[in-house]
Amino acid sequence: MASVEFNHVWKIYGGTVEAVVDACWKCEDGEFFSILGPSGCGKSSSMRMIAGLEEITRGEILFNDRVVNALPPTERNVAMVFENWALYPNLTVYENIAFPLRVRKLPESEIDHKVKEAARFLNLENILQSGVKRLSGGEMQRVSIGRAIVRNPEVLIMDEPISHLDAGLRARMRDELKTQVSKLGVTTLYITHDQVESMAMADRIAIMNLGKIQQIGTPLEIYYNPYNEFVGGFIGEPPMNFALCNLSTDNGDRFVESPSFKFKLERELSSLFNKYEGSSEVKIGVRPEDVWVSLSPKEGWFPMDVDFVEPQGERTIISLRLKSGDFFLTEISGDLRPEVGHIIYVRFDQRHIHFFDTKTGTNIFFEQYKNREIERGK
Amino acid sequence: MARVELKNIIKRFGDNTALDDVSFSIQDGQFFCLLGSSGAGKSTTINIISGVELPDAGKILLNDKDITGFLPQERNIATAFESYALYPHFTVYQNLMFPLEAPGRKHTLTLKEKDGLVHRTASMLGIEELLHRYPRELSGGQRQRVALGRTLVRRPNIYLLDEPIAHLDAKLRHRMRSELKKIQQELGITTLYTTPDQLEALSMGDVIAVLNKGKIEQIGTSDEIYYKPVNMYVARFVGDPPMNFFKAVYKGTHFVIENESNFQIPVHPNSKAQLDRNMKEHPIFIGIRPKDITTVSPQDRQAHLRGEVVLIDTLGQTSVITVKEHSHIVKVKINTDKLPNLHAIVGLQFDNLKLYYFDAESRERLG
Repeated sequence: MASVEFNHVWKIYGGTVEAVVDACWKCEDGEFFSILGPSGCGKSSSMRMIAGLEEITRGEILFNDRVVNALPPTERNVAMVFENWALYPNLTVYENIAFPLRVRKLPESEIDHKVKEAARFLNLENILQSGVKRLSGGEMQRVSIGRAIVRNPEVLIMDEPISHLDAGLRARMRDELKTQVSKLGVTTLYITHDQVESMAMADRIAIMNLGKIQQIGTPLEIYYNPYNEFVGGFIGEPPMNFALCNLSTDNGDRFVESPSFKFKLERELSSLFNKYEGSSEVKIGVRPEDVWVSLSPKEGWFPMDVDFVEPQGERTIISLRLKSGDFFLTEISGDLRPEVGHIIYVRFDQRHIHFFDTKTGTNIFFEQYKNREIERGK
Repeated sequence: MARVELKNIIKRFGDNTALDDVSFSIQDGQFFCLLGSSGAGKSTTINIISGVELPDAGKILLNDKDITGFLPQERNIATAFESYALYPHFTVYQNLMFPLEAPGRKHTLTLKEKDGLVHRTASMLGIEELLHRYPRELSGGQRQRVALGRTLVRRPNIYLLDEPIAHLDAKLRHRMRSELKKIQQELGITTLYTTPDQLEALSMGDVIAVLNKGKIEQIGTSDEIYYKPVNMYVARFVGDPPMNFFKAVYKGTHFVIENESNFQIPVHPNSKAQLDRNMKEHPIFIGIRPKDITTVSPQDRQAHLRGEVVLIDTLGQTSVITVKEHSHIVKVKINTDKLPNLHAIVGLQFDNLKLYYFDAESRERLG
């Protein structure tokens, strides 16, 4: 097994298209590390450079602190699991798993030993002699993992292995993958565009957008303290709400104001602004669960129009229309069902309001919140 | 004004029965969701209503008139397919214009009216600035919106939308759900919408039909499907993570769960009378949603069972833990601030007012 490190890695296509820009990160030995981002963010280019399928334009990739830039794919000992699992349809489970060993011309007894060991590990012993065509999705996935790990790779790369599945099956596969991988303890790089997968499975996540690493952290660090507006909006479902606001002070009190609402900052939050010297125009980000709702008026709560109501069983998602034309989503208990066109009253959980710089998009209090003990729940 | 009715539709492909006696009706102006996993028969249903496929048996009625044998163009139905099927050599504008000028249909609109419709549709879908582009210059999500636009630009009897927003990213998909529903409500056009996503169906459908292997499992409102599932299939399919099930026997004051530890769940006094009427001593399945289970200390006498935490999914403010108790795997949804450690032993307490009961053989819900 190995650690994998990106040291100022660039990938530039045709001299101009910057697919990966100055990426720096390190995935520790045995870690489950996810690279997450929308299509075109550079995650696939990163993966291909690790596997050796793509040349590194600039910078270094290191396995166990050893530079592997010049190593051909066959010498990197990286195994890959793909979206379609790419099994050989005419071979048995046994032969599918044995395939990479046969390619290496290992002695038969060793192949047999390794295949059976992998099969035992992945609970495939009973179906080793079956064809792969009639296997369930879960079994195919395990065969695919078996084939990947049978040669003891240093690094296991999974490229969107479950993103094409229906939601229910995807959740089951996710559990299974996570269980298998943690049993194996192999260094795993998990590439996906689905934030739920990264959040649920990874030890740490590197979020990419437009070729650049946006933030690296544990799922909860990223969720509760996003480095910038992109990360805030990309992580979480329903997505984070944003609104342009102005900061003002009155009699020593500090206020946040937009065309649709105005609220006074509580002491703890207000004191954070004491050293703030940036623009008085900021963008606030509030997650739907941190938008609190009352059906009747309350002191200090601001009225908003109900634009759309989504009943989802145990929860209701409400879309509120702001005067600016923007929408704010809020997530409330399933037994509350305000009607479209009605007015409801709203306030924000001030422990979880994020302030972003309107020019750079960065989280103004990222550093301050970094060391704050994460207040989870309410 | 369009009311659609499917009566006992059967459709076979070789040995495979894609639709097996499917009946439902969609009222005028209704947003009807057909929910099912891939292979359930959703697209076949769409194809049969649009006239692309003919059923082997059964009838399709449009406002009580039998249209089963009608050609697609005689039905005045607009369909958006999951695959975009855009004309590659047409711009977005021309693609949107095409249905308004297609040969074989009656066209009564002036050029100005058509142009207005194209622009209005494009702005509803947020693709106005793409009108001059070609499909190859668009992302998957943009193409899908154009495909949807080509359907919504028309004013047919019925919209058939086959997973029309499946390929949009999560954020846009959420936005499009409400946009689409609002457009539909505004136009008042009867709509059949298919999706494999239970949240989407719950969110959007005036009425939802759950389709499984060519058969309708249940038809009902969002709340009926979620709170009153008729059987274990629907109960498991709707809700995330899915409902937990335990095979059990009713003993008057408690349920005994059939597994290695035979743990018990006491009966809530308020539900006893009803249970006495409905339960006999034959095995049933108890169902409970992950949010209706709480974690307590394993020593707590209120704990109904104890098990090891084998998986933790942190999803943000809420997390899902998987607890293993002998052969049972239990999913529990909890606040992230209450997360136990991986491999910790926890006690679980079931909210016994939130239990569901199913016949162990028929898998139908009891009571």
